[in-house]
Amino acid sequence: MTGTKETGGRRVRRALRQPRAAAGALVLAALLVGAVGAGWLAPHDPARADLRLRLKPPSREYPLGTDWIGRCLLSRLLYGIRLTLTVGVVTVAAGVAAGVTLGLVAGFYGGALEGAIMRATDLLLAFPYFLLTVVFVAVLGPSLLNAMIAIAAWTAPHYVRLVRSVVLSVRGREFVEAARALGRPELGILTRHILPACVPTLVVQAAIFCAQNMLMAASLSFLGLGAQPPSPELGAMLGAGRQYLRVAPQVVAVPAVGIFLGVLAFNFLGDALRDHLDPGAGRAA
Amino acid sequence: MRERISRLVFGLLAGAACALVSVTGASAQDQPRRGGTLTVITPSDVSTFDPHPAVGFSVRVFANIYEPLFRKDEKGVLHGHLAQSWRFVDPTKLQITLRKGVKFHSGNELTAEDVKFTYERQLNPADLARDAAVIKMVKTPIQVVDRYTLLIETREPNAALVDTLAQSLATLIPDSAEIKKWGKDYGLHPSGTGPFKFVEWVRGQHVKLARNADYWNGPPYLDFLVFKVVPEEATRVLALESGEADVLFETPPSAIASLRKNAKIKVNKVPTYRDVDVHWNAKKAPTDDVRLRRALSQAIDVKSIVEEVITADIGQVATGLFNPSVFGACDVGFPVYNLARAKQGLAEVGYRPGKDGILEKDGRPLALTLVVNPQRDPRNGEVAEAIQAQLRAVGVDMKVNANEFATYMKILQSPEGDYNMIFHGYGVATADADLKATFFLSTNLPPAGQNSPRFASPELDGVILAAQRESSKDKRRELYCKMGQIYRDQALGLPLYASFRNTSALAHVHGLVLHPDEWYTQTYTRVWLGPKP
Amino acid sequence: MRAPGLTGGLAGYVVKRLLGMLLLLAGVTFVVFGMMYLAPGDVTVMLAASSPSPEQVAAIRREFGLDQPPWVQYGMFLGRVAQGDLGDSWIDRRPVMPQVLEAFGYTLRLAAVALAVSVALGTAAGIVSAVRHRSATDESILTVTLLGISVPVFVTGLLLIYTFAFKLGWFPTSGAGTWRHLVLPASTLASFLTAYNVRMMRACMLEVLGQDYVRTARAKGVRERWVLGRHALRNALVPMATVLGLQVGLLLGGSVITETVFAYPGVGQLVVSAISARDTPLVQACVLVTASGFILVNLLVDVSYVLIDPRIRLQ
Repeated sequence: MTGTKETGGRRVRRALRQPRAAAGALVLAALLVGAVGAGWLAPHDPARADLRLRLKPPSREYPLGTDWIGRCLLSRLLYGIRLTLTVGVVTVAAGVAAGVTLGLVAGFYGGALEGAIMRATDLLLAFPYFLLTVVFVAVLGPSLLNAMIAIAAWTAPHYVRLVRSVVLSVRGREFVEAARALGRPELGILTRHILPACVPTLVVQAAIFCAQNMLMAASLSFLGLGAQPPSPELGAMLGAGRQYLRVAPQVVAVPAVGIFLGVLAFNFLGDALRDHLDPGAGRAA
Repeated sequence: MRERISRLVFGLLAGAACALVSVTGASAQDQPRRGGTLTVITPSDVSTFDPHPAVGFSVRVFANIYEPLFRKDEKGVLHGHLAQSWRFVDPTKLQITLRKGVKFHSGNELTAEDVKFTYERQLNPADLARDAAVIKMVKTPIQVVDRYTLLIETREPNAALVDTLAQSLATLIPDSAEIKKWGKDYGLHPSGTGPFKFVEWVRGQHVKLARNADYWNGPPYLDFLVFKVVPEEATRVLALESGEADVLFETPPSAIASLRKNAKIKVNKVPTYRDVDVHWNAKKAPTDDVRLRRALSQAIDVKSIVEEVITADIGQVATGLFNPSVFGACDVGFPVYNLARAKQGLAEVGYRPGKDGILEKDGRPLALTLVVNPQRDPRNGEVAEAIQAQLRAVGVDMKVNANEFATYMKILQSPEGDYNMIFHGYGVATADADLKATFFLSTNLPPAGQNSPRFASPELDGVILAAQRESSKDKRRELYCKMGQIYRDQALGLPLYASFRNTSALAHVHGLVLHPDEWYTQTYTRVWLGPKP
Repeated sequence: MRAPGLTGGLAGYVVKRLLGMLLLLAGVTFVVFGMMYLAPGDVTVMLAASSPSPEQVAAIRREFGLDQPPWVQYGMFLGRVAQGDLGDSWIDRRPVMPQVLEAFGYTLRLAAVALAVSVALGTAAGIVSAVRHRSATDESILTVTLLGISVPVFVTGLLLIYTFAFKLGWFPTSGAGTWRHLVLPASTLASFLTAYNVRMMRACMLEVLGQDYVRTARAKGVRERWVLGRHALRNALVPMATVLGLQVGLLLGGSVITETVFAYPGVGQLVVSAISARDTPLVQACVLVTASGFILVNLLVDVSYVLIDPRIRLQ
């Protein structure tokens, strides 16, 4: 399904020119500015509490109001976006790194090694995914790092399957056979000829998983299984703040909008890319 | 004599309950009406209808199915319930005579054998009763004197024995014949002496009880009593407001103000026997240094935490180790928030400002861990965050470790005790200080017990045990004051607040007499429903 | 399907897959057992909360075999499962299977309604999107459905309760039992799934619309509605089966938060409370039942695929 005439990189760049992709990129850029610049942009220390300023509506000093122990919501939002983006990117990177390596190995070498890798993959995918992460985090103890490990462990098998299927489809192609015939080392064949064929599909999946992982981390934190106080993780802010929905709506609205924008940016990007690079995808998910 | 007084008090209460102490706005001309279904919202499901191995909130349902020998009313006055009379034949032997003609839902009559069976079942370690530790002072086997009389013997004289038998889950008396008949399946075929009978249990959704028309103490007005399970706090409030349920047992503080403005709903604030403390760990460095504990205690602004985060709706600043509604409560005057003295104290212990403003001693930063279980009450999590922020202001790096209940208990009771500070909320169900005081005995040091400050001294043990044996009320009160002083001087922790409960009910609910004990005592016998507006 | 060899091949394939499923489930129990074994705290804490005596703790541990080494515990567990007994709950001492199946039934009902709603919406919007490919309508359908997928489910859930249960009073806030109880939680889940279904339907339609027979039909002057209904839609619906299979899996394990917000007594809520109570037999049963459901649904999808389109080779 993946053409090889055009290089992966060029196709990605062309896909990015679509309106939805552009919108996603724009939102993402804005969030990145907030996240990277949190240290300068935040008017206050996100952990500093002043109990007398509890649940105050937006003011000049606190542009988005304060939370239940009087912390600046704008500052927490900025640092929270930083955390949420980090979680999305790091979990995807970890999942891709593990999944791509195992998928390449399984697809390229085959045999017993492939059998073992694919059975482990089946095992992980047979678990109801959210339960797996809940059990995992409950066992390791609640922390953002453990939540991230659990999420990455869940996403990796998806990449394994994906990469393996691409490898299988290109393994017999002439250019791979030619490289083999020329006596190129196997690692070189893997990285120079097979990996690039996976790139378009991987980019699409990475963007979509980034969005999903951010939501999953937020959900775990919402259940108290992720980030621990006083971390301004947006899901945790939402979880602890939800009881104030009607007295101080900003406590819920601020992190909810933060998560929404982050997830939306990646969904837009991924969706537009998929539309362009991989119109038949979804069936292979 | 005692019997007559107790009967008098009881009769007065039972007869006048709706007129005198109803809190949900029954005006004098309103006549109680029979019939209707009352729906009470509960945050979690029943685990079984066998009262003894039951866990969690399920016990709140049981007070309507099962009854104890003694009961304390909402003012803390003790009276006989299934027990008609009682007396100490000597300081370690309590003779109890049961009310005659009381019938279980199965039709069996309540006899001394049922009580003997209950207590012996509790105290048999193989039978796994959850609250059994509360009555572990009772010696087995229990002697049955005749069909309605039994003798309860304790190892040591125990001044709080009758209070204990009044309010522990372990003392609810089920139908022994039915337990023997059903065996493992008894949990689905409960038979008690209470005002309501079991009808159905739809797991995860609701429990339905029906009026016991033969109730010995006057049958209830309601036809049905339903407990509806709603785990999410925000949804619970909306279920009450939309009229799907009639009573919300614990109103979240954030909803109190808006519910008060709602003409269709009455919010009733009641004191409880519960208080929430944070304890230092006196075994683990660096909080094993009493000077450090004292200094840090003064860096925590309990008053503003309670006033701002907890609010006057659900708590008042604790002045002693026990809730003021509990016998033995004593104002011991804890050191108040004083930033200057806290800093001075920290400097005296040898801490100097280091990297990032975190204090250091011998090159090691002052890093502590606070363990909390926010599941029971999300406010605990907020208070933990406030303490964390206040300690950060004096240069302490306090890590908050929020855990679910099983993990929290594991940490609390583990031999190594991996915490410097830990939350400890406790409802003294007996309304007598003894129940909470025994936590601090040397015999309850983890892993054997839950002495969470992990501090023990012969002096403290002596005071607690003396208070347990002492029969004079005044002397007992003095001893509990002494205990509070030791706690204060050793800086074992900070009592934060004595909590209130806010029970909300739709305006057509009348005769709801709210009890301070949040666990076992709330009954709906005298509740009746007026016309729905 | 007329060729007996093919039917035999299918039967063999199904048997092989079912055997594989058993191995997979054994692996699942091993992972769950390992995790519960490593989890801090055990069930004794729940059963004997206020300072239990050491004898009491020992008695509980003995009863449940917690005093045995882990491999013995796991071996005993497997032995019981082999006899078809998943054991009794450690908390309420009742057999776990009836409880789990009941909760699973609730979850299935919720999943079915959510799926039906999102497939109906997704198919309709997907067709429109494909027919008006790259138009403003197409773009807005794709964009709006993406908004639904970007809002955390707990936010969607609480907003729906507030608006439709509390403000408008149309549906109950929580619980289960009647169809009215299903509307809000199913909508919450559907808002999440619709984005996928729209995209799937759109992609399938686009592919089919580009096929020769559709072009031929159009060229012959067959009415557009007839082209879409008769040729395009029927062929486009086939691959949807796979996606549905995947979504059932997603819903079976992924509705934990929705179930919590709506007090819906499904398997997600049950397993979360079982984990908190360290009730290992109940956790095992929940995960086993859910995983079996997931694997079976995927097997059904694969088989139906073969039946619908015999060109697809058996693996």
